[in-house]
Amino acid sequence: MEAIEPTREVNATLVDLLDRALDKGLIINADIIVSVAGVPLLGVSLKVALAGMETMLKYGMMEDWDEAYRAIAKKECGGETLKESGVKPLALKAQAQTS
Amino acid sequence: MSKKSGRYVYCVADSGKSVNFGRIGIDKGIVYTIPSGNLCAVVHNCSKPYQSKDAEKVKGWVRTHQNIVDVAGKELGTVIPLSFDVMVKGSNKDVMNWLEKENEKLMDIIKRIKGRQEFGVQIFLDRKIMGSKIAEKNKEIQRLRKEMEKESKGKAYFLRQRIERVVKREIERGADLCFKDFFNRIKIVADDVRVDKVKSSDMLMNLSCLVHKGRIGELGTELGIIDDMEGFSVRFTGPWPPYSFV
Repeated sequence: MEAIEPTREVNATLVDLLDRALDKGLIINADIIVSVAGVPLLGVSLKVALAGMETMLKYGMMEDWDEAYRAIAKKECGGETLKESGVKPLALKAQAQTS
Repeated sequence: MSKKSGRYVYCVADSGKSVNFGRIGIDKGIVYTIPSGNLCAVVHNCSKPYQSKDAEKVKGWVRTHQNIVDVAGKELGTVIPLSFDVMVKGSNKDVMNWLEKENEKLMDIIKRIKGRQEFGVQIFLDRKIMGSKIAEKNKEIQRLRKEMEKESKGKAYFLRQRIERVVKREIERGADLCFKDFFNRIKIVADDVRVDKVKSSDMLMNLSCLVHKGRIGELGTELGIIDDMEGFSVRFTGPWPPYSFV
């Protein structure tokens, strides 16, 4: 038996990096965050590109994003943009994750 | 928002040093530290968050984000990585105020992750191999197989289906026991473990482990034992900044 060495070879571990840097990491106090709709939207487009929508839905990986995305879309369809409503998208994301 | 009226934050470091890292940031932004007491934020000036539908572009940004966190870690010691695309609105003063206000909370995190690194551990199970191993040993299956040999085609068909159900049940039971066993072995070596969602049907477990630098070899040894077991394979990635533990 041999011990295994961890790898961080850039191409082989890109998905592992994306899982961490897009979904995890410190999220700072919401009232000074500017990070807007870009966060969930980026996450969606990128992850779909990497894994394919079907796979993501199958394993429930899109659920959080999906909810946040719907919440944003609902706001926008109601003729009220996020900016106007003063709702911080990150707060929406947090809501979606805790609901 | 006026031009450059925000600060993109890569990480918070356990150091009050003022450092200019040069033009190594996302979109060639100048990366520098904003110290406040015993902590500093590693930032670059920017006006809006990074958004693109081009996956390659985003991957490049995320790699740069990661690279800066690595560079900051080498230069400044323990770092709390921020999620990609998080900005503080306003000037350096606003970042300093934030560091000051959150000092206690941030110091708690630093204390928890100091001297430790994050590793990804994914364990895969080949259910076919496990199934055939179970079929060799399981008495119920052997009895059903013997019965099947004596029966007519029609009855044998139903018995085969029954055997398949038993095998499936036993595989899931075995997988569950292995999960618990492996988790406990890893838990002993790691300071903290997060269970992430599995990403494919053959992935038995997907963990993020916070491990003290002095115990990484022990984790590698435990994983080597698991990787050697028939039907199992291990993917071991890292070291990552502790994204999952902040």
